[in-house]
Amino acid sequence: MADLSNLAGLGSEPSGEIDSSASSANNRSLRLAEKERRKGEADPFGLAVKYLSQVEAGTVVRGNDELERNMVVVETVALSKGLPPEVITVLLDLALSLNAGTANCTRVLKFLIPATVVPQEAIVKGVSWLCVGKMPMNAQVLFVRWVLTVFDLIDCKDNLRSIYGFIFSFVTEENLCPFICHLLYLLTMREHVHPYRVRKLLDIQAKMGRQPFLTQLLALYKVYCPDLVTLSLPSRVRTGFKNHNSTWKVALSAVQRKNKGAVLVDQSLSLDVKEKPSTRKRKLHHLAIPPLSSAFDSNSNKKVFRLQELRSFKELLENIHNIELPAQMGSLLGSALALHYLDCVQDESASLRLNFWLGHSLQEELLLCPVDGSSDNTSEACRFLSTILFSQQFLQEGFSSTESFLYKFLSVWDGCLLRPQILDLLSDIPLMPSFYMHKLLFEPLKQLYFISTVFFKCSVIECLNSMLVKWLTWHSVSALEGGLDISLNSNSAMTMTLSGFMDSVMELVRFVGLLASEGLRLENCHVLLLNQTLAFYETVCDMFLKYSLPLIIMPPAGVFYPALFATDSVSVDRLGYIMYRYRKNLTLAKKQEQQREQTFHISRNTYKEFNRNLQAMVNSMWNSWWSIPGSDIEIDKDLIALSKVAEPWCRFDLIHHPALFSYAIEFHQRIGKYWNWYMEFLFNQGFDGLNNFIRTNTGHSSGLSSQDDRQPTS
Amino acid sequence: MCFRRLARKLPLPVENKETRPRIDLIVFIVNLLSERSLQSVESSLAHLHSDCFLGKVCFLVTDGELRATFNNCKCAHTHFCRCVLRRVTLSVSQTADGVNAAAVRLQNILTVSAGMSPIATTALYLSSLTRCSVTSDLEED
Repeated sequence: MADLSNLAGLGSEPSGEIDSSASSANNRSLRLAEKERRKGEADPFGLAVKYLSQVEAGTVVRGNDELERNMVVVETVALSKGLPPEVITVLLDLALSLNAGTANCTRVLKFLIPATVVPQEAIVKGVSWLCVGKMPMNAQVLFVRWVLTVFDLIDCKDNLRSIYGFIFSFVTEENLCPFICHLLYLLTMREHVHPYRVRKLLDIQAKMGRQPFLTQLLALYKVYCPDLVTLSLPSRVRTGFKNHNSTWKVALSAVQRKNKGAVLVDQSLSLDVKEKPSTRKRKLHHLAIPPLSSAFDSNSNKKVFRLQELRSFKELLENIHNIELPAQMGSLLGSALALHYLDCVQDESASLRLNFWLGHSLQEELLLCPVDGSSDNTSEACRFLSTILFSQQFLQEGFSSTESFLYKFLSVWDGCLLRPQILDLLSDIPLMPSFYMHKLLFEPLKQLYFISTVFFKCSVIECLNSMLVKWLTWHSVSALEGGLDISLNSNSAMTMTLSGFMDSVMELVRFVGLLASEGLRLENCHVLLLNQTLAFYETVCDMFLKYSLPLIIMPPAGVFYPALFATDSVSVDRLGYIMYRYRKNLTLAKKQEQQREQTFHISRNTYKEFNRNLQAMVNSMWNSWWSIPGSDIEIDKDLIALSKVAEPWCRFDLIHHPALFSYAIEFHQRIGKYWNWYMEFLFNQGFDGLNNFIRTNTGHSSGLSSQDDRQPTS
Repeated sequence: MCFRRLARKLPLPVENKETRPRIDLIVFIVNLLSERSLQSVESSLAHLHSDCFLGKVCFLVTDGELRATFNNCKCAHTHFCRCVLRRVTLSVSQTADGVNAAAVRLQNILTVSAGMSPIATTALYLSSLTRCSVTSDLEED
């Protein structure tokens, strides 16, 4: 009221005195009208709730207009703004006690949308009504589904956990079983796993068959107490719990969106992805990451802290032992804080649940119900995958469910849909034995690669390059920790020996060599593709020196010669750098082999190949003689004469090389004929790679100090 | 110059045989879910000379979810489906981008088949590069 009068005061200043008195009278009547209206507004809801809280057992329902009126009032408020906690308690009690009749029970449950929090006492009371056993089965199912839907909004779950046994007793009801299992899955902590409960579940499984919801709950029990659950469970349970929230999903998200403005969310720590309402008749989940629920009032005498309540890293550190995970594990994906927690604590149950959720979402959304046409669908999928990518890069390792999804997706991918995201996710795939690599990764990529555009080819090579770098980095880190037995990512049970690792790397490099050489052929040595390939070989050439992996693999002829005779100078320079690094690696390897008799051994073939390539390059560029008899590129003299090119032998040296010819002309125009000055000029243009190459292989220095900061010169 | 001809089934009518230019590539557009589509393709294949299969034939599947449809494909042509899947070169997702991408890939295949690739590559060689040498049954537990 005060602000209204202030405004009125401000408004009336410019006008004269007579006007101000008239307007103030007006304003007062305005104020009174406002008050009246507001009183009228607030009351119907409060009155309705009060009425409903006093409905007694045995009230006549049919023809009861007053009851109906109040119900409608409450329903309208519920679907528009959501209900405050006290009202939820009242309504839940009303519904489940069946005081207002059975029909009203399901009706109330259907519009019971909370605005902020759901008090746990309401749920506990609800469970006790469930135990009374008077409710019809569909109402019971509806109630349990409602609890699952609002699970993340329950303020504290301690009391619910204390009545775990009561909830567990409902597992025997066939209709309730799936949803009760889901609820137990969300509530279970280590102390709840008892042998008699395990036995009960196994009995039910014997009767009902291997249902996914039972398997999922047993899998969780097994994580907590592996000695109690001895049966073997499949490592990845694809389908799990049934959808439970279809009745409330749209209304709940609408209400949450409305109320979102009032609550603070720390943007730097959490990534909020809004859930869009479905515009089509899809019955499956959205691709949206469920939002990490906003801050509530936290009272300090709670035992466990909910992950979504933490606002700062300090809070996380203080409460790291009492964290409770949210029901929707996917909501952890965008939040840096949550990922920190997952990484530090390494809770197996959390990782199991997260992988299950992720696998399920990816399967449902991208494989079974493919993205079709509409741009918002694609952008939703895009955002989802980007969030997964962000989390994987944050944790610096991939999720196992992403990996299995990618293998399945690759076999049906057309190479175009969501390309950047899929290729980025692909580069996060951890190391695997070479047999699987062929079947799962190389075959589908090959099929897509050879007939696609040059840009797709470049993207694939870049992706495989980044994959190689990750594998090598991972190896160089874990090799430091000692031992030849290297286990893969922290959650994987597979271990791999050094030789197995080297096999896989070799297969990858060979595969890229094949892709590159054939691709260059098909694309007529396209400059982008050539550069991507050379970038890959820049990684490969330094495997020994940079990543301590005793493996040296030369580029195939299909890559080497296009680079040597390339028409752009960057490729030639890069090739020079690569050959220079190969020489350094080989020299060091040979020295180590002679000195310390290491277990690794570089084969003679590798040295031969390198020497051959080196000869070809030095002869072409320095000795002006590229078609040596017996080399790979020997061409008959008569054939060359047919081309009618003058002085064909020096056509690929430092002056006449097509890539460098323009520089030679420029030099000649500027200065004249001096060879040393030309060399200096050329290398001043930034050709460090070539400079190093010429310097180490011909001993000729251009007088320029080269940029060699990697290793001290041998 | 590139001529494109559409036909519902093979063999092509005898009347135009003389004026017809050399055929470089035959693309079968298949809908794995349609019984008629599969039947028509199967019967047309019988009319092709076996030499054609060395790189001049490719299958374009218009249902993006290959494996999913294959799993649902309970038709009598299951054996045929398996063969088709092994030779499939293209699957098209229904987006505009997907159709464009598939068209570009088809054009690349055609360039090689017609002998117009920049560095001489035969269609046979290309088909050996893209051949799927592993069965696509990746069913897990």
